[in-house]
Amino acid sequence: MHHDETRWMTAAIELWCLLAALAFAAIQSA
Amino acid sequence: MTCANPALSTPQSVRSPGGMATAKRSVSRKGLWVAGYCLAAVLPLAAVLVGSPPGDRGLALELASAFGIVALTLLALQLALPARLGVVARPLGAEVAIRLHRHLADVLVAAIAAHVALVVLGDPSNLALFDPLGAPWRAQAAVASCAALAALIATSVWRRKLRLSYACWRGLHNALGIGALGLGLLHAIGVDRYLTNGPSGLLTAGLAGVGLLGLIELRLLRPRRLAGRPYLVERVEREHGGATSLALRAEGHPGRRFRSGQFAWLRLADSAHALVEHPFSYSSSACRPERPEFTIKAYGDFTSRVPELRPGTRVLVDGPHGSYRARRHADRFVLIAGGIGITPIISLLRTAADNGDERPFVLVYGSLRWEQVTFRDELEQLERRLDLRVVHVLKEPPPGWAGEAGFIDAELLARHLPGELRRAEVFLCGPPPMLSAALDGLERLGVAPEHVHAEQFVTV
Repeated sequence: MHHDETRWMTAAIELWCLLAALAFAAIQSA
Repeated sequence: MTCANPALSTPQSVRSPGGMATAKRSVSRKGLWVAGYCLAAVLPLAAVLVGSPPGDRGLALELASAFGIVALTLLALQLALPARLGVVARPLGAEVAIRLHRHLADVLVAAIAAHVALVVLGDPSNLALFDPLGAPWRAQAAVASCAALAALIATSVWRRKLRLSYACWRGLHNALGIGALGLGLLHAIGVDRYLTNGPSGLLTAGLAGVGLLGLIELRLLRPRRLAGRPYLVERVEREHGGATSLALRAEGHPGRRFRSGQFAWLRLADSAHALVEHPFSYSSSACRPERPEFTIKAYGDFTSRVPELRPGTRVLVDGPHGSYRARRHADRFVLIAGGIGITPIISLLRTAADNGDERPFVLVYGSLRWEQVTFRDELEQLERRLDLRVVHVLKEPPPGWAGEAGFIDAELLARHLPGELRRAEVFLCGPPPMLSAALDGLERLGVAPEHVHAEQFVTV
């Protein structure tokens, strides 16, 4: 109910870090 | 009188034209802040890509390295996040920064878990790295770093069960955080693959430096600056409900302007208590920043000593902090308080009264018993100064009580706020069970979340 803005912030940072790690691994192991 | 830094959104007489724009600006500021954080979180990773040739170890081990680098970077940023640095605290609000710090700890743990799992999956012979006796020092440093983090998280989650005082926990939290980061860096140096040479090494060292500087600012530099702007205890007044109001006076400076609903960290200036600080909401009118008041209920070691403070005691006030305020110009306000959660609410009402605010306020105020209702006499006076209606809700009402009893739920709110809720800005502050019942009630009554501003008080 209460609009906790840290949820979207955390989700955005988490997703970004995951994508960055995947991109890094894909490039380094290509 | 109209103070320059009023509570809630500004009353009609001083209203600025950009009410809704303020909300949008706040969101875009936070969006920019998150973008900046995301950039910092992957800088070392990007530097490795630029500075290192492709590896030949397969996807799993490269992904393990990526998660390891991200984890180390997040750990360094975790140290800086709660440091109340202007660039961090201003766009977010200090309490949002602390909440984010807690949530990002989950992301950090997930990154470390993924790193460890992929190191083993990528090469099962790496299981030998977990042999406590035979493992190389780089692996032992990593295990020790994880152990420090596990201890840090356990002492944070179970602080009360472990009977750690707030001051002791904070000291431990800092030491374990620095220890985990130092050991993590040592692990990276021992691995000697990506983070020890070129720009990535410099960047990681720089981020670790930022984390450490954040800690030094918070624990050493900031207290020194605050000592130059002290406050003196002017009055110590017992209130109903086991609370004590601490009235302070700025000594040799005009005081820091604050908004109602904000909070400050207080610490006694004498050397014995110089490291012990506790967060409390302002309870006084925002129109008198030179004489801030805090109303404190005795819960723990520090709060129990507040009634014994003598006039003239020097107090350092690190504040204001917090973004607990209306995000649009409302034409009416619903305030819901439980117990000592009345403190930011009384500040809102005192400021509104000082400003001659003519908008309607309804306060639904839950207490255990009538004799424990903090500020009950003043609320009666405020009902005469403001367009204010107070609904007392008692958990243990006295015989013959004609008012409300029980919990603040949807039925009670619907009885007292017919038609008012949809157009109102709603502020809540209270203990977790009360907050969750009231929030459920508001949801059932169809109040939009963006108009609800809730603050859970924590006992320290």
